[in-house]
Amino acid sequence: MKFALENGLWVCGTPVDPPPLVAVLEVSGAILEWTVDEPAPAPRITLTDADAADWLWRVVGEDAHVRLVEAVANAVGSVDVPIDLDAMSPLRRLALGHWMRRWWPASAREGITALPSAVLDAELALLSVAVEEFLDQDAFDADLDALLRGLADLSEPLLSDPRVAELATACSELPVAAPEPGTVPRWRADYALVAGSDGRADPGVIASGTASVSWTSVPPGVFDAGEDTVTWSVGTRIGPNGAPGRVIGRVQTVLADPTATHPLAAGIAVHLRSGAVVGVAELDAGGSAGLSLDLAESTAWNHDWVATEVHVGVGGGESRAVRERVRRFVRSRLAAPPADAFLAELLAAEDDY
Amino acid sequence: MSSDLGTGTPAATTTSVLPRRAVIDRAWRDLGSEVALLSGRDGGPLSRTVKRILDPLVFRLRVRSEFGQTVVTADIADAMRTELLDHAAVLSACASWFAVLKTRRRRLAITAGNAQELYFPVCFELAVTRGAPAVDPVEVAEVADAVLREVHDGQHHHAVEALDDLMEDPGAVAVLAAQVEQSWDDIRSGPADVTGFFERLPAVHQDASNHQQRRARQQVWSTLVTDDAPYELGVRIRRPHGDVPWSVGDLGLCAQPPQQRPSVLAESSGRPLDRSVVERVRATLRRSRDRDDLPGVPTLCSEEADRACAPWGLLAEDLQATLVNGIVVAVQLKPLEASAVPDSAFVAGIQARLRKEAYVLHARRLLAEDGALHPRQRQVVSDLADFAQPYVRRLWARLHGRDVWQEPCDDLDEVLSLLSGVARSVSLDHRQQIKAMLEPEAVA
Repeated sequence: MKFALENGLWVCGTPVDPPPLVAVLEVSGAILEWTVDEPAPAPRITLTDADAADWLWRVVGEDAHVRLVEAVANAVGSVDVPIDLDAMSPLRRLALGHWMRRWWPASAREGITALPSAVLDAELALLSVAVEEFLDQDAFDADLDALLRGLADLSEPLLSDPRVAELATACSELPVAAPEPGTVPRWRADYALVAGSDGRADPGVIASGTASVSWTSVPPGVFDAGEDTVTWSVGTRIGPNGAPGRVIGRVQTVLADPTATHPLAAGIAVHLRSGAVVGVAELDAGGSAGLSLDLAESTAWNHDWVATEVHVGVGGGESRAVRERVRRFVRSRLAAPPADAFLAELLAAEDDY
Repeated sequence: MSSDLGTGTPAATTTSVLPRRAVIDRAWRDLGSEVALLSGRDGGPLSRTVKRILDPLVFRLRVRSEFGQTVVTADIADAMRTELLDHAAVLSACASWFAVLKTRRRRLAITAGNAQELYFPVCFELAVTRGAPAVDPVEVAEVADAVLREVHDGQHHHAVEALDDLMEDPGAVAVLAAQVEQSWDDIRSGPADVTGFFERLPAVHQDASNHQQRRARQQVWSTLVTDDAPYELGVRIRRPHGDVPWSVGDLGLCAQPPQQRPSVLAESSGRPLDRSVVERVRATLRRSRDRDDLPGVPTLCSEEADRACAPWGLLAEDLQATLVNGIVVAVQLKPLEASAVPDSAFVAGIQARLRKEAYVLHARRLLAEDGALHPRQRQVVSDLADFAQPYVRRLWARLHGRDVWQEPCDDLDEVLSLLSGVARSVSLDHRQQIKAMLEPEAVA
């Protein structure tokens, strides 16, 4: 593969798909990226600091490493390098594990079980130690403490699984500070198998419909990652003492754990747009919001609400097709776990009745 | 790839030069299993072994920078190998001490910090001063416990106490106050070609693709570090309407421009140029944990009184020039703006890296494409957008340390690597905060 200067950085490999389809790993002096559902084992490599990337020779060989360092120092040319895919494969697995922590599309509606996050985290901690010669000990992806935090509070049924117990023992040998049980603040988002609320039609409803939450628009672990989980309605609220009614919108989302509130749901923006009608509000911790629409009741009845769009969170978000692609990817892994599947995936697959 | 890289030895380069870490890895394997505790799964040294033991204590990069080059010649590789093998006994003792410290750490139920990070240097020190751990387990445990106590509680305890004592002595404080007053008045405006300085500065940010260009770039920097302009700019920021291209308030160097004469004792805003003499000395003591060659506290205070009054709070003129250089870089860095176009290859490179790091946050679902993913992150994200302030503050702290240790900034390559290193560490800091805002701790 060829390293060349691209917008001021040395890059090699083909472009990858944008989030949520990309698994990234920050290694010492470089960023590695893979499109999650593509088999290509060679990553796109972006050098952020060639001097710090003191592992390059392990994957491209010493000769190519030297040529690359010289080309970078002189800021000219391009360098052909051979990539040792075997050396790369634990890094790809680590990147994929980090991706799962953030993008695993757990959804009761879609029947995709959440991963036991403490187990996945512990596996990533061990894997990080195994590839420590690639990681920058001060950087983002070398924060083992954060990965081991959940272990202290593993539930009894999980711990009684010998594979999990073995994992916990291996982690206890790591040279990091292990937290005491019960001291770790956590919010639970592991219960995707409880059914979500469905949108009931209230009296006084003028129009209603559904929309989906874009994953790239919201933090992970807050919402059910299924489609059409946002129900919205526009209706009237009778004013006191026979005053004219106000037109209000209601939006209800399905939280990852529909039996509880989620602190991070609170404050997330909701936009409703239907032609010239717009409303903006923030969700509460239960994932619902009321929007006041500046609209007379009669206008509301005459308005065509068919093209109403509701967006939760920030930015434009990804398409439904992209989310389907991610679901296909994780379903195929759950149905036929690959040889290097994480224990967390196996546990989720076994749980998937 | 072009065959002539202009390095002067085009044909021979690829055969006689080796990646540094590959050289270390190979030599390390010859040390055998006695250093297993300092090795990774594959038998090479742990990254922390390299960073905390080999680089500073075996190769001593501070005095032998040729051992620190990214790629090294066969001669240097041989010298490194010899150096490493010469330390075989010490390293083996160091590994044994680490085993002892780990055991005692568990026994004393210490959980703070990363054991490798904290104990590797002290284990090496124990190995040098005491050799391998003694046979008597009681004696060994006593030594280890004393070391653990020092690492975990007593860092520079004595120096801090001496500083407290000195500051309670009215006579000593009065002497320092008089010194500050005098030094502050001694700094005067003079003739300087500030415009010319700024016109020549961009030349050191250009790419240099061969020796001649690198030498030319270095020559420009050598004239800039002795130029009067950085000093003069440091004087102008003390006047209400001093002619400087930026506001030291916006740069985060002062809470309220213009810069005022520092006090000896008072608690300040914490901004670099507002800090009192005692605050600066405290910072020095905090930062010099690993060093025992620090002068006595009275000397430190007296030096710091002069330094606090010097332009930009730095005595060395090359450091003053480096700060101005860094400010010119900082004001162009915008990690969240795709459209920002820095004026030189060097700054563009840093900007590109910052953009890429922001993208990693997006790919990890910690940021939206160009902003906060959750309202909780708004404050941190706006700090990230306002990159110059934390950048200049951190650069100043690094330069202050260099001033105390009298480490020069006259080598341009070193300066450039300092300037990009600061960007990286500020970005790391921000990213940790952005991440923390989405974690349960932030809610509690």
